[in-house]
Amino acid sequence: MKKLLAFLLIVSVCFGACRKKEDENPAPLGAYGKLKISIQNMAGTEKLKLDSAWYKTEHGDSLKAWEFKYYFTNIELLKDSTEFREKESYYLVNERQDASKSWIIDSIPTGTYTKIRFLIGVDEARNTSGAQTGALDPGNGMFWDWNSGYIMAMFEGISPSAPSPISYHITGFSDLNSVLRTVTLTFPTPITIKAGSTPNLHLKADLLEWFKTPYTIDVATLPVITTAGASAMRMANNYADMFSIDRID
Amino acid sequence: MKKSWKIISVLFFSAVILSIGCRQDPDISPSKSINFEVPPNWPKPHYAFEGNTLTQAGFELGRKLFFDTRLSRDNSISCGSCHQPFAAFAQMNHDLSHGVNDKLGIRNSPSLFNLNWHNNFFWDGGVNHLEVQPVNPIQSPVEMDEKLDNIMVKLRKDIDYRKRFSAAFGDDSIYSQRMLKALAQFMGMLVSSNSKYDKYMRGETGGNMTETELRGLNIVRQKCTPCHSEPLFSDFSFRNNGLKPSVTNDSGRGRITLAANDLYKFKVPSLRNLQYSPPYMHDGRFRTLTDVLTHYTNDIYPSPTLDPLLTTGIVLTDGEKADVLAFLATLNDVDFVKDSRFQEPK
Repeated sequence: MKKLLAFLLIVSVCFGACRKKEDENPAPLGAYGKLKISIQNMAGTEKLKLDSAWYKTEHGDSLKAWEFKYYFTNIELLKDSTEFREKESYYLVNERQDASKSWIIDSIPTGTYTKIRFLIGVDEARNTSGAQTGALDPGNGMFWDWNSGYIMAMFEGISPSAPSPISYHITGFSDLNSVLRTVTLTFPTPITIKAGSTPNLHLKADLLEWFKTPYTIDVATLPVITTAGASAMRMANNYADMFSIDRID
Repeated sequence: MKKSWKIISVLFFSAVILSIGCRQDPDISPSKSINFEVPPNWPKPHYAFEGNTLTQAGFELGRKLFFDTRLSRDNSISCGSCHQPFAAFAQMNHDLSHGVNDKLGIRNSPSLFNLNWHNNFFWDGGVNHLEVQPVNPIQSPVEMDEKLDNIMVKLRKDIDYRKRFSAAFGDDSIYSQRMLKALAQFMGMLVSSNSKYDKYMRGETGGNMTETELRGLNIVRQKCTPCHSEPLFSDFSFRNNGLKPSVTNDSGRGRITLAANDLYKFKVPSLRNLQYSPPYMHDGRFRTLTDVLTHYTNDIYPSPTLDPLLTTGIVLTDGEKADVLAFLATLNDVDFVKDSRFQEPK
């Protein structure tokens, strides 16, 4: 019987040896906590609804939204002296997919944080270093296959004012035509990260900000932006301020 | 004594079970690494499989994918349909290639070799990395017209692929990044460096050049550089080489950069393996190398972006043309086109 047990033990060790190790470096308990980020896309003061609702831009154009997607990447949490930078921090927010609009960041060192900083778009390095996966999988439809680079943010819709469907595929990562925009938001009250609780940071992202400040967009003259360059950079300047903090709970 | 024998036999059987449990499928090469060798006196490659560990299993997976028609929407064509090994991975005698449903593109299918020395891809250089190069023909409506996600669905159904992805990447998850990295392993391994010219430069047997060939080499060095500079026989720049735009009015590099001074510029192709890869030019307009030389001597079409080196064309006597043609033949690498590693798996 003992020998049988020894045999089974050895066999199980042998099979165990074939398996890939997981979680080689689990975070020590107590030193790390989590934060949930939840995004509500908006059209002004209303919650954004695709396909049905009509909205009005700063310029006065009526607008219906078909697609609204953007990359939310390189998340950092800031406090007075130190900061936390998430590794592999790439999220594709897609209004059509609820699951894409909230996620949890873990392994955050415990402490009190006062600000969040992130990038709208995909940093230059990931535009130039070959095949990516996850949020950056070229199969997600946010990658230009004939002129390499990610579509950093996308809006598609219609307006009776526009001569064609509206198609804003905002792209450009090089120094000359970068549409990458860094956003820093200060929490209304500092967030304490500690083990055993997951604060939920609710952000709003307002589509109508794409059409104003600093450039008022007239969809009749600018219904399509699909290449890197001046128009794309202007649009990025417009949407750079579309995020705000709704609440923390 | 009897007891210790029993323990030994237990250990022995355990070891057998262990080895069976861990062994790869016998018809799939184990994941041994491959050394990517840079030919002597060649520059450092732009891509040396950084973040993409080159292994026998990865290379063989890439080869299977390259020749797999499931990468196209209707399972009709593979990468290898328009990039045939015997044609130095161009498509023999096609000015333009047929995609699914016999759709035609606007450019000649380029030969594929020494790709790791390119820092961008396609005639217009629009794609910036070998690993993402295949996404373009896969998704192009006039080429394979397929979605990456659909390909993943097809591949995941195939047990042989699951084994191969597992051998190449450690587990049998199949996703586009892995497919693209495996394809890059196969394509990056396509090195052509064993032509008569290469043997001549290395001082090897088989590298004895004739008088005519050597005269041709000197003419190429004088009159075809820096565009077709050694040892890759391209400087990989974008140039307008004086071809009159055809009805498609393909603006080439200008389509990518949107810069007026890039209009009608195309990437300089290598002069290697020309015998296997006719027709020539970005739109395959010339069927023979003699036609190509005549273009440069007689038919340069002037336009604002014409390369300054070609404003007066290239002056070549008939004798010099014959010498150049003789030399170009020494750049044909029969070892490369017949390399058993690069053929479609049976």
